[in-house]
Amino acid sequence: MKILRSVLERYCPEISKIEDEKIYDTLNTLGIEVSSYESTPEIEKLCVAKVVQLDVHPNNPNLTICSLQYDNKRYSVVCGANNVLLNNYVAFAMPGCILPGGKKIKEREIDGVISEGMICSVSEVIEDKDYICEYDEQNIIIRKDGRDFYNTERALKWSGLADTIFEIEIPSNRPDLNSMLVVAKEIYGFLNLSHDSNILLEDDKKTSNRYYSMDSKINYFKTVSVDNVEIEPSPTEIRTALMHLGIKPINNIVDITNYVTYLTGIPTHAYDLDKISGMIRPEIVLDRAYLKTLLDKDITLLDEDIIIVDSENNIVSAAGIVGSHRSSIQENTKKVIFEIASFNPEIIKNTAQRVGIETNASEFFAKGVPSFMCLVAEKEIKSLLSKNIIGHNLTSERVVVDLKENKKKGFANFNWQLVQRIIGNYQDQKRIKEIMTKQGFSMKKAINMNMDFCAPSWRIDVNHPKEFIEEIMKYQDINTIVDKNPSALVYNPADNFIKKYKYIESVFQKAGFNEVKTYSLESSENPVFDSEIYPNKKIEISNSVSINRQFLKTSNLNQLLEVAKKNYSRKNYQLGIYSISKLTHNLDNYKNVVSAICYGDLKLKSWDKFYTTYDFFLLKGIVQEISRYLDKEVTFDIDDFVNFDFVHKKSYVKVFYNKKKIGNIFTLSPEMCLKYNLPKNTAFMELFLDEIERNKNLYTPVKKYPKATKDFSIEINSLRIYEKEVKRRVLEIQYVKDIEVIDYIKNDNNSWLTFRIVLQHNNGTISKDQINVVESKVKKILEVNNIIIR
Amino acid sequence: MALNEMVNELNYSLKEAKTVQSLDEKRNIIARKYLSSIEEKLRSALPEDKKEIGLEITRYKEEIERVYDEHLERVLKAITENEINNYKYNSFLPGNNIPRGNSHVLHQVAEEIAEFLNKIGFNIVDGNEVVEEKYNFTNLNIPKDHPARSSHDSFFIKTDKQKMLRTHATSTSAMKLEEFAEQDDIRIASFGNVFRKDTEDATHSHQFMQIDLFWVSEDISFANLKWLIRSLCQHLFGDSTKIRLRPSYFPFTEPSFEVDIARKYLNKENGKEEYGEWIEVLGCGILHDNVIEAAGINSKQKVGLAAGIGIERIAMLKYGIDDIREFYDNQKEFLDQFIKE
Repeated sequence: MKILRSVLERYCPEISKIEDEKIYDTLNTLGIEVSSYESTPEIEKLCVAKVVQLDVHPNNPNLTICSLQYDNKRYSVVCGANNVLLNNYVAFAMPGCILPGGKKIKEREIDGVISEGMICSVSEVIEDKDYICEYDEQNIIIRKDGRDFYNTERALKWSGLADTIFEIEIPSNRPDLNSMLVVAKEIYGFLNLSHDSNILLEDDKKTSNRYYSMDSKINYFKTVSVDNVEIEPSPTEIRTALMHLGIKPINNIVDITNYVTYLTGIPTHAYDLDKISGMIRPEIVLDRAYLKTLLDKDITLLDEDIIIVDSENNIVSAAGIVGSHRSSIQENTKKVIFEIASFNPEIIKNTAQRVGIETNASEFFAKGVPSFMCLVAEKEIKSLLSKNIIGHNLTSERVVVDLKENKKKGFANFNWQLVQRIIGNYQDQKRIKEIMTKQGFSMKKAINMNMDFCAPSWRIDVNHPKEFIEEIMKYQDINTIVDKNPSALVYNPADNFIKKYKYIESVFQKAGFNEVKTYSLESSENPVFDSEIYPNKKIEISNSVSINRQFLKTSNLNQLLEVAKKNYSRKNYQLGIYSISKLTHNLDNYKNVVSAICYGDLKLKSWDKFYTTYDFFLLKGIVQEISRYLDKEVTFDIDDFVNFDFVHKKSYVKVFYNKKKIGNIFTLSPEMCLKYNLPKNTAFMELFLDEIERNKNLYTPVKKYPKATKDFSIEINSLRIYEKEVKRRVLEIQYVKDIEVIDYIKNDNNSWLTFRIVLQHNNGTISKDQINVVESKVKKILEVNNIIIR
Repeated sequence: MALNEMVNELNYSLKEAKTVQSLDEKRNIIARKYLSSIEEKLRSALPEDKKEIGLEITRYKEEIERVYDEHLERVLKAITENEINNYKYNSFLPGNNIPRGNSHVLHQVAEEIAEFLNKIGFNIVDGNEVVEEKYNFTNLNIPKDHPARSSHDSFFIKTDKQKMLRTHATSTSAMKLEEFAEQDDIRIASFGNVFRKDTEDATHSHQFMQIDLFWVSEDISFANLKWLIRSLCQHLFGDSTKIRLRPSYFPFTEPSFEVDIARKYLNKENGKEEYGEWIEVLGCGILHDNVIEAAGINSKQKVGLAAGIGIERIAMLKYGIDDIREFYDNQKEFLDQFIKE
């Protein structure tokens, strides 16, 4: 919504003394968000000059030679416009002036006479030429009055073309702000400007401070008829204002209706009374109706739509949207009937959408501007008519549907103490009363120390005590209210969900994994859908943004694969990422889950030494490390019969905790790696976190006497030798408690095996010498069996 | 005579040697040359002469060892010097890279906010992303005809139209408010993903994160809310941060405000510290009576403060990120930048 500074000034002259920035700040403080504001810059060497002599061009009778006086110098300029007058002021572009669009003014010969510059029309000095009317294209800018600006280069300000346009965003509960008059009133009240304001929202005994209901299909409908009207271009101020608002001026009558629409937020309409039979009235369509609009489009109106008909039931317009071609204002119009109405915003919105015509009027009606503003619109129309249309007569006024008062609304009765309690600081009652009165509010003492608060009629959003308190806070500037340390700042130990899985994150982070953030919605392409690992049904969204965001994810695999793919294509040849997120497996429940994907070898920066391999075993190691924080042990179960096309058949384990399956770790199948263009060792894991319980006491002492471990790597022909000869004998050695295989690699020529022995003393910590003895005994066993130690 | 001759020859020969191996070889050649004739003499000598010849051999051997040791010392020293001079690595290069991961920047920011709230007694809670329409809209005083309730703006579940993806974390707060209704002083902050049907661009995403807080108690007021918001903004953006409140409209709070901050920066032109532009950061207000009543709390007795913070917005401002899609793109180059130093 656009607000023009010139309009604010016209209705509250004191605003002219206030800078743009102050207006911007004021609007923001009042909760009217200004998204931008822009003022028209003056054009260099475009000045205000006086016409001191007029001569007919010797070679071309259609041209005039004007002598202009500017800065004690005379300039002779050839002009083609018809409206140039002696002793008037004009906008004069001197040689060297560059007009919008890049036209450079030079001295030049026109039909044998030298022209020292150019007298400009509106179309020549305005940048945005879309909204210029025919009149402004053919006529120059000329004024009788120019004393204040004469001899300056402020031609745009002088001609009224310079303005500041504030683009504001209106909160959904303040439809009244669609009226520039209401905005002017807000600024006037807040800045405590003096009383000589022209704002027509002044108190009127009949209208002020009443809440008018907006629930009907037609809230208000009034007509005002005038005759003896001369159709001509509007005065400059209305033409320029409309141009700045993005509307092309048409003629004095149509322009008044458009201008009043922006002033009050109430779209008004004018018809040629001679082309209408009798008076007009609104009606609800019963079955269907047809209309040829002034936009030359035929539309069909259906049940419940509102139409305006004349005495012979001819349709003159689709209410609030568009008028008929027949009754539109033309150059020869003499009698005019104005329609001032308030309709149900929903009906207008629906009709406009259905017939496919969205006009300025329909947009304004859909905003639901308070019906009270109709009374203001009527006053404005009358005032503009009397100012601008000389010789017209007001012939009749008719209220067809009158406003309905709702006494329960726009009013509240509450104690002043409530104000103090909500705001939390002392409030000066007298001062607040003064400010609020300026905004149209009234406050009266009632019984039991309570107060009657009453909102002005255009403020349909203020009904509840807290809403009144908001206004009190707003009008005294909330930023001046001193903030206060809450008295109840006692520390009570509180939960922090965000830190709940910090210990799991720390394990991943120590291994060099980055956390990623993924979307909860995904496409149906996810390979895990319908697989046995995740047997839950996918949940579909009825109105997704795209097919890629159609289902709630049941596993993070797909999204992490996408991230991995993107990173690999960007030459990140090593990656470890994890994500702690929610999976929705059914509508009432969700599961917290940690998922991770990794691939590649982490190489050291300076040399080609390998450091860590990011594969299945790293993920398994991470799960083992997480298990140290848990209450109970985590175990793994190898599943050789796994048969999903995304899982490597020989590299899949299920993870169990407290006898329940809590997740999987697997290497991706070669086909999947190929499909996503990822290296072959890409591995994935997912753990459900709600099942596992964290060991609350992480500082448990080591149990009894600690264990030591020793690893041996051997070259061996078959596992049988290890089982039969090595394992059995090693277990016989004193202090050896356990022996396990931790790695076994077999290729064509030979095979390697790494086993780990666990040593423990029965009544003490095992010593270095004892470990050495065990080590030499193991070596001896291996030597006896001709096994080579690596 | 012969001894001196040998010493000279040995010195001459060993001088050329640069490795221990060649030193040994050259020594052996000279030793053989001189000692072999004397040893032969020893074998054919009379028994009474043998002792003297034996002593002579010892003298020769001692002399060879002495000269050899001198040269060995020189060679070893040269080798060590050589090794040091030809040392392959520059010790000033950085040490080995021990891998280190990090939390996502959005979680880091969420944690920072949660830490502040936690300190003043807020419980940080979590809830389902799928919620009933009642909690997302009705209990929050959002009227039936509000545009947000249409399928144009929010995501609904196909099989159950009463359920939807939450459009704000406030819905979880509202649920928890009902749960904690019995407490005298309720401080909850809910955190998580929220969903709105926006077209994706640099500042809009169909999914983003929010922290939403409710503080319902008997003796709190707007002045306290202002304190809370100012302290939070200063915790996030530094102590010199200024805040400004602008009246606004949210259906679930009355009055409602939008909060702007202004941060200090060094103006390079005049070298002075100045405040930058006002930037919108969050929304807050006093809970609407209807919301408090919907949770079964008497709105005449208690006042509720509320605020909603978009995590992405804070992260974008804090770290100067201008495209919201960066957060969900998860490029390693982006992720790695947020490893704490």
